[in-house]
Amino acid sequence: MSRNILTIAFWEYSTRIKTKWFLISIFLLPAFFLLALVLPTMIVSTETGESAVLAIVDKSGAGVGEKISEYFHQRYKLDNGSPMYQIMVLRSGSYENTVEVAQSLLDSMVIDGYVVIPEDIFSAGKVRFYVRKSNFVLCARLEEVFDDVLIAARLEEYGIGLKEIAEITKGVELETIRITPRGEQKLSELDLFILPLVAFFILFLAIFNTSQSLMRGLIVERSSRLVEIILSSVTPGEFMTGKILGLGLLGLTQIIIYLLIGYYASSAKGLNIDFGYTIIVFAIYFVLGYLFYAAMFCTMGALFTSEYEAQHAMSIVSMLVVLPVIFSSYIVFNPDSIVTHIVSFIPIFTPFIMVLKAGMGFAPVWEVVGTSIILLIFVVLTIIIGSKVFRTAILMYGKRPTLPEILKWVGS
Amino acid sequence: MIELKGVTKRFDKVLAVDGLSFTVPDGIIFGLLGPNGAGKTTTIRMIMDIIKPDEGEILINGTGASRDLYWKVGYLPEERGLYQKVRLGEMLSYFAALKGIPKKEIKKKVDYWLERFELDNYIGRKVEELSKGNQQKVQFIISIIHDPDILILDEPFSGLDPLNQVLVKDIIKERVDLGKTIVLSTHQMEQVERLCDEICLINKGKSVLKGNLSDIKNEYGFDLLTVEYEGMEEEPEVFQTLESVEITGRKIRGRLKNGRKIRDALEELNRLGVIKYFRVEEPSLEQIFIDVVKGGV
Repeated sequence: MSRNILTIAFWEYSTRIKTKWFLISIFLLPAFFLLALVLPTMIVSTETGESAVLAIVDKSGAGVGEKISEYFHQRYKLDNGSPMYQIMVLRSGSYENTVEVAQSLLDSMVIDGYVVIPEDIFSAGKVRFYVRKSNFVLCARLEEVFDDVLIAARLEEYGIGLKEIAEITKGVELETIRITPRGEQKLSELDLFILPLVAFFILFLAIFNTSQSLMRGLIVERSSRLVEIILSSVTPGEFMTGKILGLGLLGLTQIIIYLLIGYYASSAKGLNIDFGYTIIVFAIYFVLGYLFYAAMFCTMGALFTSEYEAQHAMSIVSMLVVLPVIFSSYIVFNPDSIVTHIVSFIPIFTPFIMVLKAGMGFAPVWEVVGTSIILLIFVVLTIIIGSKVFRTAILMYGKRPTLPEILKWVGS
Repeated sequence: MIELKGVTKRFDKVLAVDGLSFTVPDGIIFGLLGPNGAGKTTTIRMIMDIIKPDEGEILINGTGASRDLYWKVGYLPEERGLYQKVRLGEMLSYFAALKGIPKKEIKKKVDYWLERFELDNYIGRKVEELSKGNQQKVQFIISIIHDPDILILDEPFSGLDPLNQVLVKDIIKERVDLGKTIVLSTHQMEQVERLCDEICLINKGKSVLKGNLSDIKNEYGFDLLTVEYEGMEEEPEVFQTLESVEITGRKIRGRLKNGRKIRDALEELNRLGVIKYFRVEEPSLEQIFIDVVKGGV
């Protein structure tokens, strides 16, 4: 490798790693993703601490209303021990009258909502809940409590007592054990989904952070005409190679930092993570995936003189970038489906999906080898086509090249 | 030595450089002159092998472009930029390394040139903290830091204050004394008139005048006469010896007609009154250029 390439690589690496933004992005971006993953669940499951007053109009005549009220009092309590929900069961008068009473209570804001239990509740299994403001958590709880009460009542009809009911409805605790070459490994939910997802996001961040940084740097050099000085000293090929190499090292640094943090965090928590095979797979796909995207972004960077001009292209790129993230949740639940296998072989997705699958133990050697070879072919193609476009486009100013022109350079 | 042979470059339908040929011998200051948009920068970019000519050939020291060769060439582009977020010393070291200077010598060279341009206090500062004029000086340093045999400067004086213009001119002269070659490209012809040994004047991508500067002046030159009278007796409408005459008050300015002698003109002017002041000027390059372009001499 020529001295020029190393000089450029070192420059790209050293000037970027010293910036505040590198440090910030290394910690801020994962924090952001974590927040995006965790926050919605957290918001939904947070207790508001507010109590609510409900009325039940019970036409079943089987005391379902009272049972519901009893279950609510037992299950949901405020921090001070008093019930979270005040529930009154309305029975007096005709059906229409009772509903009217409940409605007027709701109108005068005495209650927050009322439930109407119809006569045929056991056969139809339908209940109406009237509210002025909807409350997701309360609805979910109502449904759950109704389920439990009705199932218990139906079972009682068959002559099954409370003790038996508890025994019948007792759930199963699932323990997952993965067979690895190193023996059996007990898996928690964390191992099953979270760790592969974390590996996925690390790869994702490392690849896109660096290749986008590469593209932006190139646009800056182009708009400030620094490329003229650089290209009167080194060849375009050396320039492109040096940049890709330098930023690749930056991405690698980022990954090593994450891995070290992950290693210490997991060993502190007493987790036993099988790093071996996954790490090898991760390394293969980082190198190939990075080269693929870096060559692509480098070429795009050469086509635009200003960041403003590049904005349209950037928006297409960001859409491209989001696709693997959208796919990731599908992959987590269907790691072995035909769609997943097909998508694994599409080069723009290969690295991310394979890392995710490898983390979950769904990446057989044949698939790793197969997808790697296809990805490698595309890497070589991207670099060959990219460097041809790069060489011609990098010094073209004044006008953006048209697609036929770009195709002509590629063919030359 | 730089040789251009029938070099042509088209951008889309615009013919930027049209069959341009000239030779820059070693050890001189060569002026590549012409108005804005004449094709100077395109020509220089082709010499630097940044863009390829569509037709023609460019040879440096008898061979075509190669990177080892370009380590012997320094280049100051017209449109300039620097890395803004990095420290001055580090950036200069980077460019020095790209120009093939051995690691051990880089620091020495950076220090020398920063001191020469009185920028040594800024070595640890970020480039963005430097004033625009100081950034211009840094760009000049980048072009010269590797002690090139050929130095190509595109509009080197624009944006520099008079003091620094003198400094740059001194450095240019210094290099010629060392036997190095300088190519100066500018549209400000009066700036370089006194600096250049040889020139090539281009317009619309074509060379309109080239060669030794004093030869050009002799060949295309006319003399510009100025007379001022104590008192003028008459104001003639036709002059036998002068053309393009301007009369303002008691002052007459005009060009000596081709083939006429200064003595003839003086005789004619003497008849018009008592002369208080008489002056003969050599034409400026700019005037010659305007003449050549407009008159197609």
